[in-house]
Amino acid sequence: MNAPDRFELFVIPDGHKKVEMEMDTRIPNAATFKIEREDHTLANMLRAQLLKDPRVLFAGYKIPHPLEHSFLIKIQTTPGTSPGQALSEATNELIKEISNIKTKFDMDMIRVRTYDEDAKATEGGVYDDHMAIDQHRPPMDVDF
Amino acid sequence: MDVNTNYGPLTGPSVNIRELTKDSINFVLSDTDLSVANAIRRVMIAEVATVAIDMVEIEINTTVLADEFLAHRLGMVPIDSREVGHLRYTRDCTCSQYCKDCSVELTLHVKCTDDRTREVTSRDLQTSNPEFSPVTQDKNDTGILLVKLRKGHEIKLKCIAKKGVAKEHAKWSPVSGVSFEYDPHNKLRHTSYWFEESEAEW
Repeated sequence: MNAPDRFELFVIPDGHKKVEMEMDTRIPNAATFKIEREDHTLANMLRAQLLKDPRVLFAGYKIPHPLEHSFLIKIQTTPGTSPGQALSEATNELIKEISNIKTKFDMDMIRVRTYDEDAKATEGGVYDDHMAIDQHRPPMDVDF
Repeated sequence: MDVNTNYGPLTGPSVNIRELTKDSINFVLSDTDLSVANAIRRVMIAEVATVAIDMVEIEINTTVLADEFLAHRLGMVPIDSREVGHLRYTRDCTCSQYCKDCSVELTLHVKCTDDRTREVTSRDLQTSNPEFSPVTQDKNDTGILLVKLRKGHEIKLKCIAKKGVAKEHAKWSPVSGVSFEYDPHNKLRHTSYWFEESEAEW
């Protein structure tokens, strides 16, 4: 009866803007952006990307209330840059990185598909595990 | 100012697929931030568009299951959504209510006439658009069981399947499970293991 519509999670009603900025009155070069109808998926990524920028002094996000689908991200930059500029660049960098991941993924899919066809053509005996594609590659040492 | 930190050998993130089957994939994503990997996981679960039955118009239902029960089960039936790019969201469509561009019609009409129990499955659903039909594993797959009919029971309904995302309802989620693991040897010390401190216990 009181449950809001599920599409409220991602559909912005008329009149509301996706991004709104509020300059911080007390701290220089600091602003808080309110992004509507987005959650941790985007917020955490943006925050992490902003922290990589050496001109960003402070970057943090919060979701003021779990029932209100928006987040606030506060950014403070060095005197040479505006927070809006930093956010805009971070967004562009993220778009590049993600499209890079997509390209790499597609390339690896092609590699796997062609390898799979080769493997099928030269199918071995009992020892051939068709699930383990990287049988012929040295075992991975995931070293952080 | 270029702030793109490429940790890898100049090329940034890399993907290495370990296993690939018809319905599962196991891959390693390296040289990228944890938040990006998590965002990919969250998007896979909640924001990849799929097609699922959204509205059910029931004409005849003399089965043992209630209308809404059946409608719920129909909503959960997976529909082949590889061509979902061709479909528009109903809220973005120029039509009033729904049309061919933003929805797919599926019909179901089964009447049990003999003494044996008739099992109505997702195979009995007839689709108006062959690009979007209920998923079947192979030729022998009987389909997902929807309801069982006794002699005399009948079910006749029309379903409207629409494009949506799991944020709105879990039926639109394309994945059954996504998991990710990082730093298996805890070198980053993101977690700390408990150990026995009391001498007495030892």
